Amino acid sequence: MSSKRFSPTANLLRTSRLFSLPPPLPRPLPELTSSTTIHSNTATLPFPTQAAITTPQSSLCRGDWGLKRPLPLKSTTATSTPVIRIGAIDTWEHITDFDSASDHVLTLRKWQEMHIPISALETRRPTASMISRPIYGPHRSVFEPEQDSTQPNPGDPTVDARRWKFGGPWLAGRTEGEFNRYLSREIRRRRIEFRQYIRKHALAKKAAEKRRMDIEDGKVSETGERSNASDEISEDELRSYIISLRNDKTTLNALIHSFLDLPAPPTLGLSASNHGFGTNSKPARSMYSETGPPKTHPSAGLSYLRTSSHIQNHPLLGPQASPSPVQARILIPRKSVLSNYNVAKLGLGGVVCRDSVPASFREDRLPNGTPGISKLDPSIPGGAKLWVHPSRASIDVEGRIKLETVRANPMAIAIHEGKVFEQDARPLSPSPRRMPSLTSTTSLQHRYGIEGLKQSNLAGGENDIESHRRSHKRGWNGTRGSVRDSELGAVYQKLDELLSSEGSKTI
Amino acid sequence: MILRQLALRQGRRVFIPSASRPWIRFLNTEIERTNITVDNANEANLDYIGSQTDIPIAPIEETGESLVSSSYTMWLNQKKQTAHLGSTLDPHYKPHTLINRPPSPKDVTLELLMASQAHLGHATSLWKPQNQRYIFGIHQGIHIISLDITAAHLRRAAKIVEAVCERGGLVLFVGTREGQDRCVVNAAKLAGGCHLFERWIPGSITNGQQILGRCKMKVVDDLGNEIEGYEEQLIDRATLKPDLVVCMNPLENYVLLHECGLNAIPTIGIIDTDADPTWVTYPIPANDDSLRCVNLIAGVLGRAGEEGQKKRQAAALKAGFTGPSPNRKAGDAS
Repeated sequence: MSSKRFSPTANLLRTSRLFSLPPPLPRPLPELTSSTTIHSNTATLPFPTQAAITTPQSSLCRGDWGLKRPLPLKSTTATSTPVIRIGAIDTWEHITDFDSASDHVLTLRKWQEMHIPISALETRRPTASMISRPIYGPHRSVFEPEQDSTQPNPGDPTVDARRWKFGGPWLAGRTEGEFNRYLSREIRRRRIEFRQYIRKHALAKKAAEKRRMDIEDGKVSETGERSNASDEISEDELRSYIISLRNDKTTLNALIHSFLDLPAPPTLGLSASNHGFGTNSKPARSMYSETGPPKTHPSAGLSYLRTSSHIQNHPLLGPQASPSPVQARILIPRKSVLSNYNVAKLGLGGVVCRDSVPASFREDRLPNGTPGISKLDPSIPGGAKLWVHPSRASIDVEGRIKLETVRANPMAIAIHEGKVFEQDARPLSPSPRRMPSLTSTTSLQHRYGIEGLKQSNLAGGENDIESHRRSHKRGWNGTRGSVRDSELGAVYQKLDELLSSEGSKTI
Repeated sequence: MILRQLALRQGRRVFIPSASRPWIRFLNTEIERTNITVDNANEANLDYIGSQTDIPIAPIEETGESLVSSSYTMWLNQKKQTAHLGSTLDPHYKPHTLINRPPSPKDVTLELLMASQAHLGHATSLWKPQNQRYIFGIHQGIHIISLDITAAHLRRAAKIVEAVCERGGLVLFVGTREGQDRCVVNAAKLAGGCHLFERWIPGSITNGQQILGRCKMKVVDDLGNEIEGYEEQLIDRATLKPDLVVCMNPLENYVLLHECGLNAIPTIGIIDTDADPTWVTYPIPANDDSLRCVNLIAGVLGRAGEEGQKKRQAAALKAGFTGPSPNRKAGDAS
């Protein structure tokens, strides 16, 4: 479609920003469950359906958003996030229908700040129950070539199983009416095309048959040139092949699937061969068989990071083992009217996620426990909050964000809040930093980085096992970093010897 | 050299705190270390500076210039020197220029009109079918006004305003919606006409003697200077009527346009897709709700009027004729 065909006005309009606004996506449907669900028309949608637009400051104070009319200043300027989404440019009531888009814009900003890569969905459904947490495999980015596949790839079934975009609809998710409409409107007019497709397939089959015969007769060697003799097939041959296909449901089903580019159907309880899928020619199993292909790209554009394998560098304390923690709001404590689960629900970056620590005891009564986690505590100003590390995020087939968190390292929290030096009463001068003396690998845990510094300060530079135990009891920091301790222990041992032989323990 | 002059300008007070830092060491690598104290710091420095230059430098008396003022001068100097550095993002849209320096009719482009949202009509259910010839299509539920037709009609209207001003006519700019006052006043100022940004009093044309009869009238020459001596002739004279009315919002000013029609006064109006184009003589199909579009159209027409006025004044100066004198019979009220 060359642009020369259009008038100058048309060209200009086609390239204008207002005309480039995509039409809104359909709103996500409320969950179809028999249980009572709380549904609101005005609640923030799980994903944005409309583009958010913004305007420069000089135009904002004039109400100019490039729309039909200036928008009212009162509602657009009295906000720190002046972004809107447009319902209608003009309506019968002579108004421009707009709405603040700060909900999703702020969510996106928070996620960009948290630096979370999006993981691919698990092929096998994680065992999720009220008590036990779902167990996930290692992080695989959605942008890896084997994950991010949109083209049919019959050669590689593992890649084909992760394909997330198809030309045809997911028939298992259609109602009967929708299916009949699909048959009558879209399938019927592709008859001739399908006949050509079968002809091509018949030709290939005939050529293979002929080649096999030739090899058997000894005319051609197996590695020899492929003959292109049989590039013609008569109408009678084709007709008889189509009749034979009607009895051979396996081949026919595979042909239909590849012709219409349909996603794989869900696995049924009956054996596959009863439904016409043979062992070798059935359509490839897909990780989306049960749920249908996803509505968006598996990343949903939320994050374009591949990994979170980066180390945060503190200006004074150096590289940190754990990244900066983020504060999550405790939306529903463990025991409440709304739920009686043992897992609290947290709100983090505009997304609801589960707490990583299921427990039935009153954690808030512990000396260092989180207040308001076990039971609603109305005395906390601003509501109860909790420091966590986001650990894994993925987008499910409905486009919803699934977020997993772990409790933040207490030392990471102290560093983030700037309380490390307050405790030690040594502002801005951590030197001389002493390398922890590594007598045992178990005591190494959290002795490097700030932990080691703090311990050495607390214990007057000596290795105090008691202080270690105290620090372990304080939180959940004992669960991290235990894998590499033995290796690191050796490295630190070596370093320690080196330093002590030079008569200097400072770094 | 600059460094030395700087050191001299700073005076004695500068060197006192720097006594702990070896200034001389800073200036020269080969000097022998002398014991500089706070008391002899200035002398030592001056001695050193004197030894390094051929021109003998007399020790400067304390002028009273403080460190604060000198550093302020330095800062100003630095600012002046670095002001031209960096990049500028030009050209970019500056909203205020549409009022302060409006574009002239020759600057009107389709891009400018589109950026000013001139193409956005009303919702399709609100349209007046008489506007069909101006409508390009439907998009996102609204009618899109054809930009080339808008540009053509705007240029035609600009020619009319220019011609009327060139012949000494009186142009009335009307924009009674909120926010249209500034552009209307500015356009009237440029075109040397009148403006109206509040309610049009019905009958101001058809019943002008009653409504505007007590208003002052004056006789001016071609350069706009008042000519004395016509006072008694003006007493019985009928009130002035505009020779051209430019209306930014015809929907709210039907009475005005109707009166103009009764008095054969030509009118120019912005016609949106929900307005009736037969209300005005020369419609400009454009978006009348967007302030930016109204600013643009008013500015363009004001510039056209300014051009007409300039032509008239140039012709008058060339001909040496600057208006009627009181001795002559014919009076021209303009």
